Amino acid sequence: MRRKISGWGLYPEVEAEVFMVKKRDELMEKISSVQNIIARGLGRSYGDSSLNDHVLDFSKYDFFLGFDSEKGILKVTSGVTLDEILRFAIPRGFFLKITPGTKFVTVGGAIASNVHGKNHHREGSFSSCVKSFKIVVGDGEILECSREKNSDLFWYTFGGMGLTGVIIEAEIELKKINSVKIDYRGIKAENLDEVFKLFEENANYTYSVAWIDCLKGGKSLGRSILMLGEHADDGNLTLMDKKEIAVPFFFPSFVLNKMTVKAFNTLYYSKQIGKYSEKKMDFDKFFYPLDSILEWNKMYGRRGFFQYQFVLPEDRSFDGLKEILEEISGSGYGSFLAVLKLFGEEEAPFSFPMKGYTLALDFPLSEETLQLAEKLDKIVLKYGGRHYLSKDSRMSGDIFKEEYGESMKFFLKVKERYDPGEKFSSIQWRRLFK
Amino acid sequence: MKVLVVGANSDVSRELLNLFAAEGDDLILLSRDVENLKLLKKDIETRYEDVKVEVDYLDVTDKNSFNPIFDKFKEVDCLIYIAGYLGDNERALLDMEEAEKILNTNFTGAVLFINHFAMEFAKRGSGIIVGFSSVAGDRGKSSNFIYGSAKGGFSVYLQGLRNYLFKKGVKVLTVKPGFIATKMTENMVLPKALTASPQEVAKDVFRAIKKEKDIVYTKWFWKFIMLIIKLIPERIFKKMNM
Ligand SMILES: Cc1cc2nc3c(=O)[nH]c(=O)nc-3n(C[C@H](O)[C@H](O)[C@H](O)COP(=O)(O)OP(=O)(O)OC[C@H]3O[C@@H](n4cnc5c(N)ncnc54)[C@H](O)[C@@H]3O)c2cc1C
Ligand SMILES: NC(=O)c1ccc[n+]([C@@H]2O[C@H](COP(=O)([O-])OP(=O)(O)OC[C@H]3O[C@@H](n4cnc5c(N)ncnc54)[C@H](OP(=O)(O)O)[C@@H]3O)[C@@H](O)[C@H]2O)c1
Repeated sequence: MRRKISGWGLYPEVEAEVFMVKKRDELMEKISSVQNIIARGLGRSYGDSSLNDHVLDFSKYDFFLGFDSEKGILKVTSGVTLDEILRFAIPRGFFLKITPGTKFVTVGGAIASNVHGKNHHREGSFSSCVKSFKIVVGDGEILECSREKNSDLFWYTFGGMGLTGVIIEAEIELKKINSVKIDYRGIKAENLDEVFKLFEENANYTYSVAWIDCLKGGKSLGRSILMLGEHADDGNLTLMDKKEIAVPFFFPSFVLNKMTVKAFNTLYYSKQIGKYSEKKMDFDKFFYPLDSILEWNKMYGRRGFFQYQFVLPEDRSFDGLKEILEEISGSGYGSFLAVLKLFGEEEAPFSFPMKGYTLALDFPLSEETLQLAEKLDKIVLKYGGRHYLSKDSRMSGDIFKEEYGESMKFFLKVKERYDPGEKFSSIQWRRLFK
Repeated sequence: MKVLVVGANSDVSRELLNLFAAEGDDLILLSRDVENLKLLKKDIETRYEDVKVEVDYLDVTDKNSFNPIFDKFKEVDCLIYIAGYLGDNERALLDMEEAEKILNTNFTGAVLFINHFAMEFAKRGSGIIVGFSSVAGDRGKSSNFIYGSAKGGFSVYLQGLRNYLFKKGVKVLTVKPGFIATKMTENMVLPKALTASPQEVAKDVFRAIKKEKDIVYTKWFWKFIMLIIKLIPERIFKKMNM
């Protein structure tokens, strides 16, 4: 059926033929009969990576295919969500090894974006928990990929944004846990200098992420709260039933203006009173604070918003971030959510993470914020950093090509090998790779 | 409990199966697409290790294929008939094959299949029969009256059967959904407020089974919508474009 769709940022919106994937033979027939196809999971990527003329919607292709409880290896079809996996895994004493900040993503989407979590510095990105997957390539063949088999396709599919083919099944490895709770520790940092130090001192924590108040300038530039966590060990593996609430309508766009963002950030920072705070937290609250508000993206109004996420190489992170935060606080267009995180080494060759600091920001869509973003792009490039494709809807092809350089050229070779006829493409592909 | 589902590949069925499996009930899945049933079986047996799932081919429009099924599956506690075919009303008016398929899937096949188990359950003095009818069977309207009449016939059959089996200790539940967002309706534009998700319907039906209800409308307010629609005098109704 033809309908209008968009990514999580609600921009851009396009009309597409959306095909619900239900059965494998119907899928194969569809792939052989049309061009300009892209796979889509739950549409939690912010920009245009899952948009094209023909969209294969995998959200209903969600079957569990087997579980080896000794090894903790779960086999699923690609539309299974991380939420479903957690419901299955937690009562059995398992957890996702890698999870992004929302559990409403599919396994296919997690592979294609090679998502990262709060533990990237210790456990890598999603590729590190994927044993193998099956993918349909350009000529309609189904290939099994792993570190041993078709390994070029295996590696370049991580971060490949659905452009190497359509993932239909995957085997992923879960990790053992002994509690649904997280032992949380929060530390306030006065400025960027301090939060960098704290990240390094606490590198042994499995999970770490900092929330930054990016409206603060001067001496308090980089004022933040570092949030650390470990799985608790109390043996409680019972899932609680939670009620989700939905943002019922589009907020008028004046609701989120400079003043409200400032008030929110001040409140957030002062919520924690002392320098340190420790508590036991439900895993949902620690990993997925936004998931309890369904459709929170509508808060930004009908025009939508964009996320701005980049990473800078470790040795140049401090200077680069300082320059970027100064630019933002100077502009006054603070972001509601600004999240800072230290990445470790990345094993997948065409993926966003690299050893260094990453910052993610939200901006409501407007001429001014788009101009600000273009200024920031130049700083990111100057410091040798790059942007995350899953969040991007606006960067120029030139910036992207410079940022990804050699690894993009290798990616294109693999793409040429497995999809020479460009069966698979997306709006993002045409915007950035062409 | 052992639950047999006819038309197990339906989107609503999938949700319903999860609810039974979560209680540890064993399942028998019947439908035409056996490949898909096998996928469902794998899915359920992975999520619920202690549940046993059997699958088999059944085309409800082919009564000659019923006997092997009757012979194979003898111990059943709950029979759910959820197979359905909406079809194309305009086409059905011109094409006998289409009309027959609608009638057979939603009515004739249902009656012939359920009769056998009704008698088995009656002999044993226990059992539950659940039939998926539709609000479309409550009043005939121009857009889908071939389907509607089959569902209407099915509703009357279930009503009589409930009456017939009451003293024999067998329960009969009639399910009357309004709109459900499933593959049956995926190319239709449905009013969001009136449309249920397959999960919602499954939950309503599961609760109705547990509470031994006779009829369940889902979403619940369809009961009142249909009450009003049924009250409209025919001389007015016939002029309305429904
Ligand atoms: C609140 C929120 C927090 C987030 N936090 C993080 C985070 O901490 N870390 C992080 O890394 N990301 C994060 N993200 C981004 C999100 O994890 C990724 O965009 C993810 O890829 C979305 O998965 P999806 O199933 O919704 O896929 P979609 O958004 O539908 O698609 C994303 C990409 O995957 C491809 N794809 C989807 N399914 C398949 C398939 N079966 N075969 C081939 N390609 C496929 C699409 O073509 C597209 O390129 C966050 C997003 C939100 C909304
Ligand atoms: N969706 C709605 O809005 C709505 C509204 C009111 C009532 N209902 C009724 O509710 C029930 C479930 O609906 P749904 O939307 O979940 O339907 P659905 O997803 O379209 O599923 C119907 C299932 O019936 C099976 N089936 C069809 N013909 C068959 C045959 N000849 N023999 C055996 N199985 C057959 C099909 O499986 P195979 O292809 O594997 O055979 C199919 O999966 C149906 O009875 C429907 O009429 C639906």
